Amino acid sequence: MKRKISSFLLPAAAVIILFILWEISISIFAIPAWKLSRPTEIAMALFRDYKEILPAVFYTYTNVIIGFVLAMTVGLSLGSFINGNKLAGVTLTPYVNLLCTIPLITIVPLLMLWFGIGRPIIILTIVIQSFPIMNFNCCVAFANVDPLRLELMDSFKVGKLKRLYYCILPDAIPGVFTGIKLSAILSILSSITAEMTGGNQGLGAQINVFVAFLKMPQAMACIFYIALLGLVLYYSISHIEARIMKTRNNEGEQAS
Amino acid sequence: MLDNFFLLENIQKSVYTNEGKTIRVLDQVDINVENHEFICIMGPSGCGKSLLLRIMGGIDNMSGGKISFKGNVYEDGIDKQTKSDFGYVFQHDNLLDWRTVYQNVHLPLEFDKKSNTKKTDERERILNVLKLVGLDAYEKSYPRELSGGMRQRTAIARALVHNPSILLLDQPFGALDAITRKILSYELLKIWHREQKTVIMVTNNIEEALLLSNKIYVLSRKPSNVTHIIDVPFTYDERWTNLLEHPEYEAVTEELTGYLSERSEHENAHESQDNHSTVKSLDHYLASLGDIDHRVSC
Repeated sequence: MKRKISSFLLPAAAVIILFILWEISISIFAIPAWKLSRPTEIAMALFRDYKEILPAVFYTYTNVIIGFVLAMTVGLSLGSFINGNKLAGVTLTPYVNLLCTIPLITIVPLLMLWFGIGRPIIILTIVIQSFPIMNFNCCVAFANVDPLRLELMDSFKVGKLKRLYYCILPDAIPGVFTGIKLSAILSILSSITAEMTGGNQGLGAQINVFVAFLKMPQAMACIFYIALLGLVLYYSISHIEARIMKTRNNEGEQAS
Repeated sequence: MLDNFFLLENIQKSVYTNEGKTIRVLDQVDINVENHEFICIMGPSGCGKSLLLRIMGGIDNMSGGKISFKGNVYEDGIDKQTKSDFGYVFQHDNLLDWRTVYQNVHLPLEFDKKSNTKKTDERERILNVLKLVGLDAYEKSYPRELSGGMRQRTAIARALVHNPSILLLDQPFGALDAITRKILSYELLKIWHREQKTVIMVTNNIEEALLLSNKIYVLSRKPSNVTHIIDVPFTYDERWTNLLEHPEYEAVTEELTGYLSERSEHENAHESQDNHSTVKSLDHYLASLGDIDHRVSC
């Protein structure tokens, strides 16, 4: 219990100290507001300009969540398919992994050219950018499943789907969750990039507008919301993972 | 004479090495198992005895030969329906970490589509086998909470739960310490006697083989054949007394030790012909099958 409290309190304290130092240094070094805003100004912008910021927050959050869930589904399904089908694996894997390395900013203009602008295009961008990393991690985790476990399944001679459900997937949970975390991060990055490059709505576009008018505290307030989404997503996923892994990793107390 | 309960004729198995060479591991293996027998298979390290057991259980396929089981002939190995008549125990318990003892034992029933047993019947069945291996108090424990011996007991319970006719054990006590090994051997003897199963076990331990089995098949080095069949002369009750004092114990032990350390001229010639790297990669293959046990006494 003590450890749980300190694991929350210590990072919180660190953030507060950082904000105080930030606030003080701006006064001491006389940094102009258009270069760097004070934390207090950002906090005020959060409340004062909520009418401009909140719709953008809602737009971006829904896109990220939809895109992330889709990317997760596509990545996991494709990973399972590749795992059960050697030929498909050999054929597809290089191209899917190639998608990991293509910088998103280069494909957004192309996608816009083909499909126009708007919500679907942003979600599509998120999926394209986030599913390969999910697929990649799933494939690695599935391929590393203990061969003895697979032999156990062979001794019952079960079909591919049951094999996946009863053995491969549970065994590969840690690797799959690494993929989920990475694809959550990439989902946020790619949605903001897409909005900044070619959107007229959402936090990315809103930041562009605020910066153009030198409204730095408001732009920083938008960044705050992006960071918040990242934190919430990351910790929810970690929490789910910890609950699943709880039965396996705890030190055995009954061991004799 | 033959009751054709479980008959392996001319079983052959070749494996492919990384260099594209074919190596014959099982040459022509004939084994005749009668109902309710306890058979042990012994042989030098790397002779393919685990592989043979995997073929019996339908985990690996054979390159040639045929298997007869309960009057049916299987040319391509045991089929899916028949598999539920086998229970397989691995060298390492091979439990699923994310399932409790109860859920692990439940696994074969989940795959057994034919059985329309009710939940309550299933539960009774599982608790019965857990009682049989002495783990009825641990149904809610996870494998990580159990000792090595208890994990292997769970694995035995899992192999028994769907009531198979044949129990296949691949060096089941190899990873356990000597005392646990002894205790579990006696428990297996009791289970075999009480449940009237046919048991086929691969082992490297002479003492264990003599304590448990009615018949010991000795395999030669690869390409392996059955070189000797030993009838173990002890009755069930005698096995519970001190076998070391049995008048025939020493003679049988010596006979078996002699067979296991024997190298025929044919085998010597074969060994020297072998390309060294090929042997290495074959060993690698067999190690991946969990077959290599360096404690073999030969």
